[in-house]
Amino acid sequence: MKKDAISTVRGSRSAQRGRTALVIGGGVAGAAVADRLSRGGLDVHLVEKQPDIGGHAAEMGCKAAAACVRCNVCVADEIFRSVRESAAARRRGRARGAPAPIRLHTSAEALDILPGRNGRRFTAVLGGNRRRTKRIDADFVVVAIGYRPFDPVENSSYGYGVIPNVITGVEAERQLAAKQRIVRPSDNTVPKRMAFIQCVGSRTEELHRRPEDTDYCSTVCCAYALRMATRVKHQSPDTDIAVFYMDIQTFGKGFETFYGQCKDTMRFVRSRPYALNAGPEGTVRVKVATEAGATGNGARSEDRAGVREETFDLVVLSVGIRPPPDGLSLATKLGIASDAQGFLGLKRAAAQPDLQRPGIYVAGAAESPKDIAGCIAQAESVSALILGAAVGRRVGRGKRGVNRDTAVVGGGVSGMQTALALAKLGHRVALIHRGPDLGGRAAPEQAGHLDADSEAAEARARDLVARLRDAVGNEPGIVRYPETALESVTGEQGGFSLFLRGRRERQTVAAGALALATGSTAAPATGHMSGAIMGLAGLRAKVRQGAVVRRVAFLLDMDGEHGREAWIRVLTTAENMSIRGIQTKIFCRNARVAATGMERLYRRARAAGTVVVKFDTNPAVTERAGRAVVRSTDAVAGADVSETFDIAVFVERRNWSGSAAVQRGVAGLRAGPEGEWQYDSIWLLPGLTNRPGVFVVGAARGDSECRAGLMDGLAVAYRMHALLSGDALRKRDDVATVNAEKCVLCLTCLRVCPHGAIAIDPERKAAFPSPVSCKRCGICVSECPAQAMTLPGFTDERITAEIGARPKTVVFACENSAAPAARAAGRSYGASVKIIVVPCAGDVDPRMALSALESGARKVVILGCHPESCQYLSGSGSADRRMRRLADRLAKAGFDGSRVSFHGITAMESGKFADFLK
Amino acid sequence: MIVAEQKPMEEIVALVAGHKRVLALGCGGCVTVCLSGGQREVSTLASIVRLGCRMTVEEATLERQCDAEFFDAVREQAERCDAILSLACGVGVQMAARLFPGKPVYPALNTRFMGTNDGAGQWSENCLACGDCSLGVFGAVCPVARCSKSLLNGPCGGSANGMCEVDPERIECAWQLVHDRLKALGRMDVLDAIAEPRDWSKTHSGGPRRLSREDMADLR
Repeated sequence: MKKDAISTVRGSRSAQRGRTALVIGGGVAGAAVADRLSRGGLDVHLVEKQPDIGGHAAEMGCKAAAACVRCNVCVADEIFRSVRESAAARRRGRARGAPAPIRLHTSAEALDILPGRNGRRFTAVLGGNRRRTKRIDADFVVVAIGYRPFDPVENSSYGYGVIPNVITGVEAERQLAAKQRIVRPSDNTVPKRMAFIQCVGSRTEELHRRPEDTDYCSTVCCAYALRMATRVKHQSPDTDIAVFYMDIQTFGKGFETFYGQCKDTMRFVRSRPYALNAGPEGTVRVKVATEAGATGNGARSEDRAGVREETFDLVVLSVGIRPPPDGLSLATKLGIASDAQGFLGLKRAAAQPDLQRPGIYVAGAAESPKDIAGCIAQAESVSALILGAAVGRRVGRGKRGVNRDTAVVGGGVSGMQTALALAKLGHRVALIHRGPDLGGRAAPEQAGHLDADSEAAEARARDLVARLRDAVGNEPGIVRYPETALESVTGEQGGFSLFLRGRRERQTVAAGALALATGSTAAPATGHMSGAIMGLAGLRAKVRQGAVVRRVAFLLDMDGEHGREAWIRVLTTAENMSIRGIQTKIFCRNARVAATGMERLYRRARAAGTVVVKFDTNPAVTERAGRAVVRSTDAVAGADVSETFDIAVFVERRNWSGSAAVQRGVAGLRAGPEGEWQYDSIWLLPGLTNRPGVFVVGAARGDSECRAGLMDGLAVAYRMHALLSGDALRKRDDVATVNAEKCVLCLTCLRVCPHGAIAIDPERKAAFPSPVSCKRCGICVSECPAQAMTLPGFTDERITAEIGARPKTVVFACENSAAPAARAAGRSYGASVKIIVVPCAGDVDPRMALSALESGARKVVILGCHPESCQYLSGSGSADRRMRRLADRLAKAGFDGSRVSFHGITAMESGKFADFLK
Repeated sequence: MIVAEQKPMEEIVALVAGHKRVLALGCGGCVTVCLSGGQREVSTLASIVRLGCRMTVEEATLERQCDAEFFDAVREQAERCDAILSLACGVGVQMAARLFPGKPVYPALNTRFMGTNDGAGQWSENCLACGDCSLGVFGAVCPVARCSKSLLNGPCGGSANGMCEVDPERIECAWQLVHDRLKALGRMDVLDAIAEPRDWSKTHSGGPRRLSREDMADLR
């Protein structure tokens, strides 16, 4: 599916002849940039120090438990495979007219970057171990040199390197990648008691100002630790797992559900262990000082405050991200800035860090800590900038019938950024927004993390909005539709029709792709609202009215997890209030600081006087005599404490699903489990929806902050450009077809298609899968009650023939996950096992499984992606439910239902493959 | 549309028990559209019964089972089987019985209601064929079918948050819907008038009903 979305440019080659890019670093970000730029028509050199590309992500393992946990390691793997194929194609020689494949230079380093010769901007000098140096001329340089994981040897209290069963997160990942399990190094056994220690090397204290201290959150450690822990618990349910933490950061879609499941199965101890010592038989003794109720896990606990020691069989140190060791020297050589920590580029409000040398970009964890999805998003945002600069205004020849115009709905920061990037990439943009002016709802209090102090940050945020607004005004390619709402969208990618309603009239706009940047709305504040108890909006109003306020309480996490967006607002507001002498207190479960600049904002607010109190049970908030009373449990004393404030603020939750009207209007658009527009599957990289050609960007996508929103805008612009420029939109001849005679127009196929690719053909009076948008997954074919649909290449006849050999075990293997896993498993299964490859597990009709059983098979196994990570979104989930129902019905008819089953597997889990055949 | 659902497997198995050769007969009408009795379901059910009950099950699907003419296509098949398992709605099952008087005919489905599709795999009842449609009065929301008590003059005390006390998670209060609809149409005056008790003899309560079109009668 992703292969269709980003394809190669043919038409605009002439515009990009002679445009060369040099990418330094072959990790996720570097490989992704190389991949996107080469598909965009540029000549790309990818330089990697190690003998192979892959960086740290190549050493990470799949952490799927019963369900996919969205760690994105398989997505990264896919990118590396694609780049290696491209580089191999180059060696084989390419067909005339095909785009230039990536030139891979492994075991090579960029020794220097000199001013360019031959009319180019740069000339890079590459050196390898013993090879002679090479010179490469380039117009663009992307620095993606990655990061260095924190080495806990630097802090002796962890006992790392001394105690054998203390390992780092990196080592745990390597174990998962190699043998799909985590075991004790001392004796290779599965631990009965396991601990994860968070914030190792991140968010450390500045008290002693050691060189290794950090004042940032690495953003990835909570995610990887909890995912690993979930996997371990799934594989060994008897293992007791404890997580020692300060604050658990939010990550990804479905976080609340996932975190809730973790809290049910593991112990969370709010404390930072201060000493690890070796115990008998390889155990590890962890000394920890806790507050009362620290092991509460959200419920009240009887624990007193004090010092304890716990013994574990294995301890994993969740090490954070440090800047790359050669970062500073490379920055100096290139003349680009680096920040106080050693990450590259300045961290201003712009999506791309300001650089002193035009033509040089930074992507990935070298720029700031981020996860795999973040690296890919940044890689695409950089690609958008580079392609925009390389392509200029030349749109190039698109395919016939593809409308290369685009539309952006929403005039806030993300919407404006997307529109500008699209215009630079040569597309006309219809920018549709509800208000009379551009600027959206960006508020100064969303900007506190952008600069060294909140006032400077607010000015910077206003400046950013103004600059974007001016740029849009000066961009001839953008046509504005102010005071206009989107009513509905018909058509499909390459040819949408948008029906708009302005103040006085209705209009239609045509576009090949569209981005929804409609932002978020505040959900109504919960809790008893009154004169002294209100939401953030109410606080703002009160302050504007000039009310005298001396003490303010902020309440977070009362009915769900608040994320970065809420925390930036609260901390900025609190810092400003504290500076003006107002006492502020924040009550929360976890402080959320996982974005660049947020930890520093957190510390600033506290330095200014804001007090942060963590609770395990919700405080009770009441009103008395016109003031708010907050009653909470004091952690040290273990007793309840009541405090009075002038105002108590219940921080509102944001509603990410945006306008319900817009959601209804875009036919076939499906929401994720928590109402977000982006359907919940890792294969939908940030910005994509289930509907091809419809993208979501900015706050409409979920918990966002403005820097990420800007980066998203660029990344989505890249994706829209790639969709409309490549041959993704060609008509195919192998899509699902409908026999009009048998079709009863029950509309089932239309409703189950996850991509919205089926419509009704009024002339044939039958369903009609689009030759452009049909993804050929076959989910519709297996649901058709009249058996009126076929997928060429996967017909009943073919499958019957394959079953005909009367094998003992029949395996239906999805081509995206199970089939590669089977190939990697390598063994020959002999004639008694027949592997039938299908496009998606959702293509397997129960009738096929029954047919196999009636032919004498002992066992029928359907293997597909884990339901949450089905590459066709809903196929695996469908297969799972169908096979359960079938097994149940067989059992009730007196047949052994366990002979039919569905299992989820990823392409990387070849070790599991054999298990399913037993 | 008529909405039907397959009977629990145990019940179907018990119905066909003792027979050696059964014809599983599907219908291409409503039950295909509501995914319970079409060609695919016939094929699946036949297979399951063959595997679990060790009997021969033949398969066929008719255009519709509510009209006798379509059964001509399966006359021979029906003759050689010792029972028919019909996957049609109750109407079709009875037609099969009428046409094959000596053959046991069993229903594989429970015919549930007349209703609409609310999305893949979801259906809800909204008409119960009362025979005397008053949708024109109540803003095209039917209080007879959609109010659990078939009240005609407003909600009962069990209406809360727009939901019916019979199943507050799933059943919407019909009178809330009527109210909202009439409000949107600006016809709240309708609610001021008292609706008289219905003539229930026009519904099934008066016995099984017939319909006759005099202008067509000659063609019998």
